Amino acid sequence: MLRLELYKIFRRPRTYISFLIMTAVTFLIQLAMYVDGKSFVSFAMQGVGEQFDISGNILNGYLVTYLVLQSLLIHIPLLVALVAGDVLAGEANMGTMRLLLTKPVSRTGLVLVKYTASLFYALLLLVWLAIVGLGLSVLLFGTGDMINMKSDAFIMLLKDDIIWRYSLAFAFAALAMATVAALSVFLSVFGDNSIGPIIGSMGIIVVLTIFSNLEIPLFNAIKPYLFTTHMVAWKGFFDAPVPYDAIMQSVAVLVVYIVLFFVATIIVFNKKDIQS
Amino acid sequence: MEHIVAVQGLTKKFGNFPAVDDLSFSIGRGEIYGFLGPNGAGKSTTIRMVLGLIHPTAGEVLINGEPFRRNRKKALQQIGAIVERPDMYRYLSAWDNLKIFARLSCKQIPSSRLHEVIELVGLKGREHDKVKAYSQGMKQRLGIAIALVHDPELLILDEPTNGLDPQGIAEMRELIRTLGTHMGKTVFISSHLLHEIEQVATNMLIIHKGRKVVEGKVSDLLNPNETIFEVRILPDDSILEKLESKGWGEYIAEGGNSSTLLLRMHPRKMPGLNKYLVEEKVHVLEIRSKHSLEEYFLSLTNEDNAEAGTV
Repeated sequence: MLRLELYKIFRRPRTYISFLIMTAVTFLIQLAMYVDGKSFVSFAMQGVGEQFDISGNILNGYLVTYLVLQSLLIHIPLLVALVAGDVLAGEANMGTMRLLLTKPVSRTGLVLVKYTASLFYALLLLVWLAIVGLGLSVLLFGTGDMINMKSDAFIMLLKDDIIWRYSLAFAFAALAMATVAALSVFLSVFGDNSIGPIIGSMGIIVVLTIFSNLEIPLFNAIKPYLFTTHMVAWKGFFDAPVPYDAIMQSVAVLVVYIVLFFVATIIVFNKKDIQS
Repeated sequence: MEHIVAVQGLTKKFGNFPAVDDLSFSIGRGEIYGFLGPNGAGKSTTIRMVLGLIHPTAGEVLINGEPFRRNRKKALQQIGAIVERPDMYRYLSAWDNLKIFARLSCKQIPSSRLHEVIELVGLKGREHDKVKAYSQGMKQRLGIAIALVHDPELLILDEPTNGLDPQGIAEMRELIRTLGTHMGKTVFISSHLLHEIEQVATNMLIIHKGRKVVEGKVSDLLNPNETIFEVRILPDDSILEKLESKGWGEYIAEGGNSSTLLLRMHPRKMPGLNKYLVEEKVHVLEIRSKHSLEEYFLSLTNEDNAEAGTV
């Protein structure tokens, strides 16, 4: 059943839009850094050069990948919503939901398969990002020690100390995307066309991301409970030392959200009258 | 007779509106069972409840004697269905669609069976075309192929001739006859057109406003020598029993409301019936001849159209 679901997803042209967008944005960032990266680095390092003697390949593939991830990991959830928001609502819209449910498949099983397929798609997006982001950046810019330019500090990460950080960051991003997929599939159960769930997911992610980033006391109280606050915890892997406690807390919050969305989807879908 | 489908007191309310109201009927193995009613009578809602797409407010559906709700998977293995439009994955070919739904049927289906049903529904040579290039008639036939591919005992076809041209309707009719008569399938077919049902069905049920009006063998119900009489009386609890025991025609159903009886009898017997009712102190308000079931059904349809036109 999962194979059939993936077959359906990957036979649709719209599935590949996300890959195209991501590739295009990555290329643009890489091109911009290739053309004008040195001025970017010298601007970012202003003031630091006066106190420290910095030499070597600072504008390397690891730094460029970090910049790509910072730009794209906010937007990938929107691309995940494009497919995950469609998995149930799209069937309702096409009228194929009633045909599917006249076959001896359980509704819970169908939700499970739809969610797994969305997750597979999200993981594939991340793998593709790793290939075009990390792989191509390393090919174009080479490797070297990476400087993580934070607003309040510069963290120097040694060249041999980076790949495992990226591996864990991608693994964490996969969990974040699993949360987005769970939200989108949940909204998808209510819709009889894909537009509502897709826009709904995107809207929720955008609004909650704004709440997570606003430094207003009122929002500070709710921030720890928003999944969007925890979705960016991957950045912790590029700190020294890595804040494992905070990261594990974020993992726990995201897992709770996934379980909640998933269980809610199953309950609603099992009770739903299929009238489309 | 062994019943493949038994519907008992099925009710579905959307808010306070009863789309289907206390409906009971049963379908014998091997029957082509027509399910007739004007648009909005509750046919599709009933079919969706039989298939588990809509949860009933009350009542139960039994498939081969087992409650559908507790044996959904097993029941659906024995059913093939088209509900309303035959919608499929338009961006895939007919073959891919057939393959997908065949795999979902929980049976090992060889590709020879796929070829067999494609040939049966007359899509040979076009099976690798994308569904978006198909006409409505071709989609209907593919829908039947999908419903048939796992060789179910029961076929449920909801308005299968909708949107077809006259030739398509004739072909569909022939296909349904083949399925029922030659292949031994039990077919449960809905329509809002009496002549459609009349031409293919062995038995039929007419519903109106979610309630059963008439049920029986098509040959009996459409017997030209008998007439349907609508008898409007003040409510009387014992009269039905008396009419039945005295052999006053065949009681068909209570129509519209509880004080309207439908009786089928030879027109010559009508004056005697009137006399009998008066003797039994039943207050007769009106006796109307409907001439035939067709006329009666037409009057239901017209009544609905008139209601729809009244704002």
